[in-house]
Amino acid sequence: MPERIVIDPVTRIEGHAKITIQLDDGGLPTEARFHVTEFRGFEKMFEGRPFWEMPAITARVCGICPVSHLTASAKAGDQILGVRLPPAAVKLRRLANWAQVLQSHALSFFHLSSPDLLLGMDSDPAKRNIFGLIAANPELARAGIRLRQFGQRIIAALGGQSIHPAWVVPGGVRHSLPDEDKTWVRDRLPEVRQTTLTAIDMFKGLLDKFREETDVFGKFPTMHLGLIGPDGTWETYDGAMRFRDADGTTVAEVDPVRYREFIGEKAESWSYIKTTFFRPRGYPDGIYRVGPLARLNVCDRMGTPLADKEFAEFHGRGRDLTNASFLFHYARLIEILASIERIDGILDDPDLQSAHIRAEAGVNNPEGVGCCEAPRGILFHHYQVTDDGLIRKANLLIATAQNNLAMNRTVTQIAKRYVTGRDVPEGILNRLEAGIRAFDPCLSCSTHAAGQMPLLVRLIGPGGEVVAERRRD
Amino acid sequence: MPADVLVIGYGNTLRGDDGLGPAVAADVARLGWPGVRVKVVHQLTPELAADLADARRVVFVDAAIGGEPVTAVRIETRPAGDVMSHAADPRGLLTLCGAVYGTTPDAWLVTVAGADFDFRDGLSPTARENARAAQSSVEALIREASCA
Repeated sequence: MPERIVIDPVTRIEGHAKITIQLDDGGLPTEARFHVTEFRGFEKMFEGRPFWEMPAITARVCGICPVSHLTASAKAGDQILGVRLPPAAVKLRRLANWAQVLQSHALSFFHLSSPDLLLGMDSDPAKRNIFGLIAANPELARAGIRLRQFGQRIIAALGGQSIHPAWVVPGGVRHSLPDEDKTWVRDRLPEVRQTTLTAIDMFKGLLDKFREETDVFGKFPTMHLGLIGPDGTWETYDGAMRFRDADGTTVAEVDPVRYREFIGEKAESWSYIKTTFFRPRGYPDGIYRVGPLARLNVCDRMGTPLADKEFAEFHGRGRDLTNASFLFHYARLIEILASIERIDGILDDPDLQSAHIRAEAGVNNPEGVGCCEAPRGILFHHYQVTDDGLIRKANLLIATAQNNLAMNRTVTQIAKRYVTGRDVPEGILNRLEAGIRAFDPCLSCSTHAAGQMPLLVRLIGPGGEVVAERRRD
Repeated sequence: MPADVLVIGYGNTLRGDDGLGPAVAADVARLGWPGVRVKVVHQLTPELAADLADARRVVFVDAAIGGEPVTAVRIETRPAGDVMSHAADPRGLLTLCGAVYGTTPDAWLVTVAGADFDFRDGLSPTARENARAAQSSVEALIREASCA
């Protein structure tokens, strides 16, 4: 008789979620679903607010990637104003976004995923965390904290505070980079570059050990979506959005303002998160992935020497591997390296100290679509406004929603490989979670949670009754 | 002159009274007391461990669902724990600080009862009243540290 296994909630991801696994009459998994159980009511809340307040408001949606929301929101505002930004403003926004990508990836890799990678999927759960990592490799743990601190310091230098800086505004930014912060960043660059190179070498060394996880943690062909620069270079702030097939064929390359022609949105009754798909292929065949792995699959080069060297090695492993979601970790590290090199490259640009950083205007367009790459993938803010600039309608398309189909397919793949009955051992639980963590989903675009999330596994019978329960606090 | 005290108010200000921690911390910051550093954050993240390591006393301020209007309890490290999720807690961060930097400050958690955690910008009347009491509690902890 069919039964469901419920893992609720998933730990060490940003926000709240659970996993359910549907078993067939023989007790074998047929399908698994990743549920987001927190309702996001923000879009409704934005209606009636002035669009020029939106960057500061939407930045408070998420404590992990506020700069990305700021940037996408301000870019939508730029279009409503109908202005051309001063070059200095664009450079400063780019700097903030690289810092954002860097600090978010550092959190994901060093603190959320490294315990799984370094201590092993079957290690004692009481030790498979940041403290276990500190015990096993204290230097790596400290370096990870300092790497994240580096990104946060840049954001703080620009925004005044590292979380929720109301610094990016429609038309530009509020102020330039202070000299003393520039010096601090310059001094810290060699250390963070070395930390990242060490982490990349470490991850490459682990790939053989995790060959099975690489094959099972979401390895399947899908399209990938991300921004690219004019010459196909890795891009996080501007450019065209490019869809590429699993074999590397470019399927579409268009201005992000046309996102609705290419991205469909679907609500499922079992999750509060929207699911998106490539509209020309329909649902669910239009599955695609976004984020670090996708960005490295859609671009032709990283555009900086060290990152390009790693990019070549990454792609040298073949299309089969670059479609494996486990390699999100690898791609994340290469993006940290690219961000460091980009920051290094722009630091001495005199525009970073320019006084010409904001264009002023009134409402000149009734609608704007702002798009940038958030750490977890391409992000869209779409606003429609009244003549007075009040939001009539807002639509936010976040990366985690765009990875939803792929995350569901990933947990299904893992469940089919490892779950063989009612008993779900610790190591399998963690593999299911780790499969999701590879995407680094951010569900905190929802709520602030208090307290530690335990892991609850429930086996639910066909009548909805709990037939077995296992809890990990 | 007060000792080096760090006040961290955390919570999501778009979830109504969950913004109590940031609101109280912001009020403390406005006092401009020397030797007092204030951080207003959405959530507790690992790099805050470095700020903890530099402080003699840390006061975390967080919202609570119901219960006493204001509580202040001393917190300790724990043998092990998972600090790294959206739900990182003060004890986890304190433990991380000790593990990474080999030192921990005297740490307190001030909780402030909220009444409405819906999608909203701003505090409920109950929360505003509790915030005033919480600020007094935080100020007392700062003064006490300066006398220690």
